[in-house]
Amino acid sequence: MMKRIALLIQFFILLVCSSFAQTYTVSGYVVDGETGETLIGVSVVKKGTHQGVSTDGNGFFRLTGLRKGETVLEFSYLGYGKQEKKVVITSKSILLETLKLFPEAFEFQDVIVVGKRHDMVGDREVETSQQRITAQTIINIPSARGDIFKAIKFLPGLQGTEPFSPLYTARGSDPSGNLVMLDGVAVYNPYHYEQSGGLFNIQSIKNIDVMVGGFGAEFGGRNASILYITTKDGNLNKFSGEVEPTTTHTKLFFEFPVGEKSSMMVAGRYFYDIPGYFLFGNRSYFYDFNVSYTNRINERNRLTLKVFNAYDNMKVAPERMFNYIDNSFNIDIYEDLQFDMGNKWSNRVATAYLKSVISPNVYLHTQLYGSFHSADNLSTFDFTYKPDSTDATVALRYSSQFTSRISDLSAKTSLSVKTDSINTFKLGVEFNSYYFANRAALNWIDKGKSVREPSMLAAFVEDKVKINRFVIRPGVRLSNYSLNGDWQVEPRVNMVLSWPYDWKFKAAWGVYYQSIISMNTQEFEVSQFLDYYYPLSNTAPSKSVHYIVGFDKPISKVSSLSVEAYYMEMPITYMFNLNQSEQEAFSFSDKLERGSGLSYGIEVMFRGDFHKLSGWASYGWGRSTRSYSHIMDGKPFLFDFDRTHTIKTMVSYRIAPRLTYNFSLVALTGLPKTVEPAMQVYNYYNPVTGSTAFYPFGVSDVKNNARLPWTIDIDMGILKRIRSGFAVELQEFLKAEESYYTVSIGNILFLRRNVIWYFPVGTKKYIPVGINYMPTVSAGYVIKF
Amino acid sequence: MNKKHLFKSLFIAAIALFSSCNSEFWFDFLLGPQPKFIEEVEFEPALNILGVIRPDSANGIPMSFVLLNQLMQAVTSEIDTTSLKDADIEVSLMEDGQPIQSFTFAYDSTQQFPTIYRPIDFSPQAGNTYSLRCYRDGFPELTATTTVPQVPVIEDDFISVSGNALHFSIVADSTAALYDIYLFSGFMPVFTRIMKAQSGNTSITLKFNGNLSSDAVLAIYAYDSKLSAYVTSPNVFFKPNTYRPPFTNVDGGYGCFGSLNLLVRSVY
Repeated sequence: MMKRIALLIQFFILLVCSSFAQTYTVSGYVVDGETGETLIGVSVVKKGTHQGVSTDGNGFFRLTGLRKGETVLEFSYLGYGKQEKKVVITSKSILLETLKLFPEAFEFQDVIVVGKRHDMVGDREVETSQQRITAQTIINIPSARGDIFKAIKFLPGLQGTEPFSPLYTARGSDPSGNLVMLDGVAVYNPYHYEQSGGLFNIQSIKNIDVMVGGFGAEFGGRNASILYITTKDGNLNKFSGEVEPTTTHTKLFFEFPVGEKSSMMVAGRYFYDIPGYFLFGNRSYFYDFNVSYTNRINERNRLTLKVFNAYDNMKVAPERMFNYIDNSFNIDIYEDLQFDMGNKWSNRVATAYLKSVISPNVYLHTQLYGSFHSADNLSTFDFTYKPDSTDATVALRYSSQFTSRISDLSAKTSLSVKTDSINTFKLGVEFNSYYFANRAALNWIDKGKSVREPSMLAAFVEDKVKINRFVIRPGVRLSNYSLNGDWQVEPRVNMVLSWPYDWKFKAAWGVYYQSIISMNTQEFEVSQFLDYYYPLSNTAPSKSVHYIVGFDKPISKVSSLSVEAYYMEMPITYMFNLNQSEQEAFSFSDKLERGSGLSYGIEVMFRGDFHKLSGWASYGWGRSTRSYSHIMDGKPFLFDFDRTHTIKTMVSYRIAPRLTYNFSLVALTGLPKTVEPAMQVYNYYNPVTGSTAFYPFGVSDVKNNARLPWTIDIDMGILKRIRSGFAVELQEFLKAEESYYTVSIGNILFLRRNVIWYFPVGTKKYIPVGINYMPTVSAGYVIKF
Repeated sequence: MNKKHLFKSLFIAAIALFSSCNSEFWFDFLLGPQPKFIEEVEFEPALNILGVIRPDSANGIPMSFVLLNQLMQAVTSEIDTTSLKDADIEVSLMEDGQPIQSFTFAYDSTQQFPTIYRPIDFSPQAGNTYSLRCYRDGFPELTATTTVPQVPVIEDDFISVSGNALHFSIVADSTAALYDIYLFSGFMPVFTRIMKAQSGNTSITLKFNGNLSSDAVLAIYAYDSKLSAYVTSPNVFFKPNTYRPPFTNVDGGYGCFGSLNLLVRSVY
């Protein structure tokens, strides 16, 4: 009996010991063998098992839970040849030499890649509402014309705000709730005026991640979405680049090695408004450039320096157009019109960051940056008209001037520690020192300058726990905003459960605070182009709470379906009551009103990659409301950018190896609008002469009482690689690798104009005014080195 | 049918389908689809005024007036006139909340448009409070009050001229809320509008081009809080379909009943 008990005890001891047998980690970087660029989302799997990870946003992977002995790891990545690596683990974890994957002669180079399969997503395998979009996809979307901000509006959950504006909303939240980061740097107003696009040259972009709500504790300061853009480090092995002259702009992109361990990337773009100059006498242009230098000090350490600069100068001079109208119709309505509209703004970013592999299980990222933004926006409208037949005088006089200066100096560091096969801890600290200076003059009243210099100290910790098919990442972010004094606690959790037959259920919950808000001027400007950042002071930050559930399911080897439902409470939100006169509320802080909001909906997305046909289609249903005590006595009203239904599709069809057709469709429920039931005559009074002039303005006590009709946009594009003719001769002369044409045809449904306004004019019906009166065609020629 | 033709046919059919979803193509001169109302707002007729009480007169005619029209329906099947020539308009001098003297404002028939009512014998004084009563059949009665601000006073009666700018200060005055300042010289009049300083005197700097003539004249108009709110109203922006309640600081109607006072003096 005793012998049996002893044997049983020995058995249990062996069982326990074996379950706690020591495991090890293999980690390392994976790069493109031709350029040296790190690759994000590479699948790293232990051969013959389902045990695997993906490279994170740094192109770094850590595979834990490996036993002593020989292990073969398989590396795979779309568009690249697979590789196997034999690893022998003896007595400690291993940091591998950088592994290189080489692009294969991939027939479907132009396929659209949006949101890879879940097991290929990078470090963010537990994010619920993340989409990853490639630079090539953005180039393929015809109406995007290589612009990130136009392209992301094709993704579910993201919508543009107004026509002519590059701002966007995420699931019914305010546009100011979106954080745009360029290589970890917060960029303020990352837009160009012309073409309502973004600052970033697509040729310099490596990766774009969009997280629409439910993001982890690592990110803070905004309560809606994160747009994280990673730029290239430069080709480590050879000189390469692209030159793209088009009818509206010229782009340059070059990357090249500097010595054995370093590389640089230089990209630039210059835009010129030729039609505007000849038609209207406009003198508008913009430019942007970015420079990157990366030194791969050794296998463990990489130092990167990046600089970015963008400048916009927009000057509209419509006198030529108005004179043409007067002369054509033999009228003199615009004789006494003075119209000035000029906007200038700039963005400058400089950053340095060090990535260090402290050990195979410990990764350190340290970054310093400065992000600077300035804007000067002026618009003046002074119109007087005295019809001959009456003694009445019609006048319209308006002037606004906004200037903004922002400086953001920040330092942050984060540590990622994989303690065992189950836990990956990430913790970090961030300090931001801000300077915000705003100046405004409205209707010729100078409101003076407002300067605030807040600072923010934040720390976060999160633990990604992976147990078999279940991944959960609880985390918390603590932040202290100097103009408030209180510590804000933002708990967050994301979880993913993989089920048999490739079902993947996901959920997220999180609390988000925002102390630097933006002034809503869309009802006070023709189109709100910029976020006018305003740091709160001695006021509770705006707050939102996200609840998200959903699932992903591959339908076949090449297609997948995802469904996601969201519910977002906004117990504290702010807007500026710009309807108050300067007499009632002079300073902007006096115009600040606190309210609440709610947003909920469901999104369905189908992605497919069928041989020559690839793309995605999505449908969203949602509702977003707000409530403020100064509007309709607190009665909830539809959010200004609420869209009940959103239908988006993007398809790329590779007809032949050198010819690709691209097609996009966006159909959206019309925006809510305040369609005025009445008009009030406003009288301009000249106290010197005692004379008056008048103008009838639409007025309403009820906000967003109607909807515009649906907006539908269909665009198509053609991408053709050139094999003969002058273009090839030029390509050979320049010793380029290849060249191709791009043609985009926009607004195919131009006969069906999308209504943007309804003018009340006292006639039997409202007068609709639409945009996109003509189809648009743009063409470009790209040379690749 | 090969794949290319199939693709083209499907594409054309899709375009046709979406196009035909609209019952009409519209152009600017045709009235197209109307907005889909979520909440119907009932229109209620009401009077709309701009009334200004001021102590000065021109050629013996008081400069005070009441300009009268009505709130208009944005869409209507009837021809709507905004001019109201047969209203009863009375302004009363108030003391301790009671009217002690009334003045009738009569329609000025010398002017077709706008519809203006003027007093005959009316000399308002600074510091006095006046109430307005405006009535016309078919509209609610409109009432309002205003207190005439004091004459603006330049601190130490001193205006300095340095380079191409005038500098002076207006003594603090609780009855005024905003100043319109004009400089008349040989060049085009220079104008500036400035809110009264929240505390203390209001400093003014007025820049001009060219040389200041020896007979340059400065005119300072001080507006009461009601007229100040009216002239600085954000409603003066042409963008339609924005939430913009009608402006009012009167009761029973819309618009403004306010007052101003003025100082005119030579610069030198």
